[in-house]
Amino acid sequence: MNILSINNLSVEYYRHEAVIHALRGFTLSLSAGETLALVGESGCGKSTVAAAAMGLIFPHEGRITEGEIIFDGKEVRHYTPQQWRMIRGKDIAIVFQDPFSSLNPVISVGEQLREAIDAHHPELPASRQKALALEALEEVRLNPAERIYSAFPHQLSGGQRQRAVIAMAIANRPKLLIADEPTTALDVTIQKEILDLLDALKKELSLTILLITHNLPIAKQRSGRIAVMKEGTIVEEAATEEIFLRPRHEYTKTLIASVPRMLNT
Amino acid sequence: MELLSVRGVSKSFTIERGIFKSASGAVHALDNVTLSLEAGKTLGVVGESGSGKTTLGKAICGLVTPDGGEILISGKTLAAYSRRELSSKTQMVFQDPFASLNPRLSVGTMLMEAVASPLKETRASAAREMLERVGLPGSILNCYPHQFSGGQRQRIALARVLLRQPELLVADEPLSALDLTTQSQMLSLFVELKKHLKLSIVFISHDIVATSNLADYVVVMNNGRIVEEGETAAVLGNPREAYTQRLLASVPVLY
Repeated sequence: MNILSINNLSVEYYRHEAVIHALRGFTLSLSAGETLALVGESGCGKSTVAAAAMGLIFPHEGRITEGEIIFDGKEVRHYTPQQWRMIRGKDIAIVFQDPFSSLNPVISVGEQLREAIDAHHPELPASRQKALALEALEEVRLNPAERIYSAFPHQLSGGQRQRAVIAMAIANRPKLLIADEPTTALDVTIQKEILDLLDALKKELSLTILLITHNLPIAKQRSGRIAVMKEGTIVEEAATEEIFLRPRHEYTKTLIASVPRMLNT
Repeated sequence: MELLSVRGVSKSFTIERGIFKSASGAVHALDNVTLSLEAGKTLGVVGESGSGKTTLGKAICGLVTPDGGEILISGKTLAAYSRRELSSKTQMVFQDPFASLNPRLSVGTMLMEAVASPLKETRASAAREMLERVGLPGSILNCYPHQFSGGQRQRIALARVLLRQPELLVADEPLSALDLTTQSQMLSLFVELKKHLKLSIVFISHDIVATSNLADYVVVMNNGRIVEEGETAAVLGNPREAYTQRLLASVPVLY
């Protein structure tokens, strides 16, 4: 069953009176339980896909000109901001690249996490919300959870912050997690830990993951299917093994050839 | 012949706290670092953020003064060179080609400044020649940085540095700000320049795979210290230290 289907989606942005076509007839489906890697270079529209699927394309910056977005069986493209707020952060969650800018610097990590839970479960008493927040911190292996709960973002390392962001994303048990370059700002050893964590959470919480990355080796290691994007549209899509064994599109071949191989060893 | 010799170099930065900027601690960016490089060879410096890679590069170019130890180029300490002499010995390429080029100067102005010749025509032809060498058309002398992509800018920055004819090029994360396909082109350019210009390069990078394509020797840094060093094949193919092993195991590779 498809958790997300994007059909023939076109998005344009307005910049300095010019129109930028960020997506042109973009079509992609994710079935429940899979990890799909969306790969491509800067400016190809990867993050616009995430923004569109999260209802985060705002009228002052651009608009969806055509196509449909079906999430969990419902057409969500024409959702009102209120309707989006009901599912965003609950059924669909996102983890961004930069853990330094996705946390509020003046609110403790735990309090932000509790707010995320409160946004969708205001009926729960604060003590219960806090218990759930602590649980989420433990799920992302941030220990001791009590101490992290009262810490401020600047007291955490980059890897810990990204874990806190992931805790916030999974706290409401989303069906779909969009990870937009989740490890690009991190060192390689931390990168591996975060990707391992996402893999583990996927199993534990039966998540579906849309992994947006420019890093082909990561896409190869972590996904079951890959979609290669260029200039706002998918140029090739196949099972991960298939893409690397038999790339069909010229651009896919160029990308794969661009990945440096370990030499001299 | 030994071109670069770094002997027991240390550098720490104090951390300032509060409105009176009282020192509350120190970061040892370089802790007794010793290494050397022969002319014509490339040394890869790899490590994670905060390991001291950039401080090492800046110290070699004389942009940071070490607290202890000494750095020699062609057998003479950095202090023995005048600024002008030093600038023809070592040059640095930086990570961000959007920050390293002056947006108000044309490519021609920037490149011709770097050529030591009184004749304008000589300077212009040297600039054109170098642009072609780094894979750009010689006709762009009248263009400005904003007209170019990140990869093209990095080539312009490289051309400017090479026009000084440095004996040692220090490249600090020169690929990190670039896209995948551009990175691979830039890496090939470095490999080619190394071969044809017989350049000596200190290649600072967190990208171990890219480094393996260029470096003859590698030093692995962590917390300001050199953890492991040796020929590239030995260090990356058969690492002895636990830190290097962990680092290599974390690198995602295609094959």
